[in-house]
Amino acid sequence: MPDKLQENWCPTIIAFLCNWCSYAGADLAGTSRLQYPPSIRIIRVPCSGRINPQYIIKALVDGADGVLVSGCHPGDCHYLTGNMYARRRFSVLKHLLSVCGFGEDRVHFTWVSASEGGRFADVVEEVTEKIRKLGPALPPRDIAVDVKGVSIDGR
Amino acid sequence: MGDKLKQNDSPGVVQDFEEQERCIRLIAKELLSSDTVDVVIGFQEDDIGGSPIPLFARSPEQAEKLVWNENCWRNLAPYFKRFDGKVAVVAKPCDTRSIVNLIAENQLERENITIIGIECGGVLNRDGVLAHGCLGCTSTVPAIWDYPVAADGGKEFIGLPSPPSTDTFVDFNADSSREDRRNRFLREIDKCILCYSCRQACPGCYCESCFVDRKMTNWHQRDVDTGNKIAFHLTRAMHLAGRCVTCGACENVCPSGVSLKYIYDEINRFIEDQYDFRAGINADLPSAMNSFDQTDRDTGFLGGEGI
Ligand code: SF4
Ligand code: SF4
Repeated sequence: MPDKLQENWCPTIIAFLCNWCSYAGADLAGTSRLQYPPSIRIIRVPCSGRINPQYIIKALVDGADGVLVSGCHPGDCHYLTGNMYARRRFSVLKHLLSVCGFGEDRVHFTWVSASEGGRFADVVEEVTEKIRKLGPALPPRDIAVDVKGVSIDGR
Repeated sequence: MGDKLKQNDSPGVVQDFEEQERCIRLIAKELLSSDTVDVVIGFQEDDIGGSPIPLFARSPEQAEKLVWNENCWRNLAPYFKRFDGKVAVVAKPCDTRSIVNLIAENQLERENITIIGIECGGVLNRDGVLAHGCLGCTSTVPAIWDYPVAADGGKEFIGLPSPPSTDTFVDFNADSSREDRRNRFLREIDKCILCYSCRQACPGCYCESCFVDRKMTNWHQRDVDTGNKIAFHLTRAMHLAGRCVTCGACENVCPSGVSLKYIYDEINRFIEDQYDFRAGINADLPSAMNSFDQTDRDTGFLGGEGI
């Protein structure tokens, strides 16, 4: 990847935001006219507990450069406990991705409340920067080509 | 039949398959003739010479056909759900863990199932080597049982030694690089043909409608390419997180020799470490992914603890 392309390249990041906190936080960032990179495509969900890990896996497999997931801070869930279940799910998913060496540095989880417009802009900035460093995601269909170059030991 | 397993090298403690088989038949016949159960699920010889296949014995005469030997690697748990009445099952320790899991998830009524729990020091898979789930298995004694069948055929479990472990992914994970992990995963799924046998054999994969079969929402494309294989295996691993009982059935049945149990083992270790939960031990506890604790850590979150 030539450096120049990388500098101008803006990743496509799928952002799953909880309706009650993070989506409102993103709204606040907008109404406060805070600047953040135009990299995210927001999908509004009722609760972080509604986010099936499969959504994240599908986004990665279908070629998203990154995924950002954000919900209410633990204890602030509109449905009381949705984000508590979500926390375990996301921790396990992140570990699973790291065990498989597939996409663990492209998936990011965080908590943003409705009043944290500034924090939302910072999070998007941070995540975009992290993913920009990684470069565009290799389309998973092409990964098999990669495997051929790997020494296959006996199995 | 009758050969002692090679890996059982501690002298004096050997598993007597023939004696166990005799006990299983006795118990099964008694259960059936007293009408305690409608059917006994166990193993029978395969007519075409493969590994023993499931037997559904409904009469004491049919129970004569029950066998138990070192080739009985199949996990019988996926078969219980087909029966409404009272069922007895011949269960290895890994099968009993699957049963505990099914009871915990309200898929089985404890009173409807009679467990003939067998002490087992490891079985051989189709290739005649120690089965995948047995490598490093730490429970040689059933998790629950109604009728115990100890290694010597008695009623007191004698505590068989655990079979050796050849591949501890915990070690691999601790000192492998991201590249190593990625290569190992891709090398395994490269062999996969998306036949879904692993799902079919898994005692935890009992959904009536699996995400790979749903066409309307198009969750899962059927083309056998790396992306779809990644999607299938990652999603299955997520569905089994905190529920996998490490029976190894998924690897034993795979026609292409895909060996991904190391991932399930590692996720199990992670869940035990983080949430202090192990699947298939206590039927009264909800599984780790079905519960939470206010004090859970933000492991893997931005600014949270790393992994
Ligand atoms: S994932 Fe494999 S090892 Fe785990 S319960 Fe299912 S079949 Fe057994
Ligand atoms: S049984 Fe093997 S080949 Fe079939 S889907 Fe599972 S891993 Fe792939």
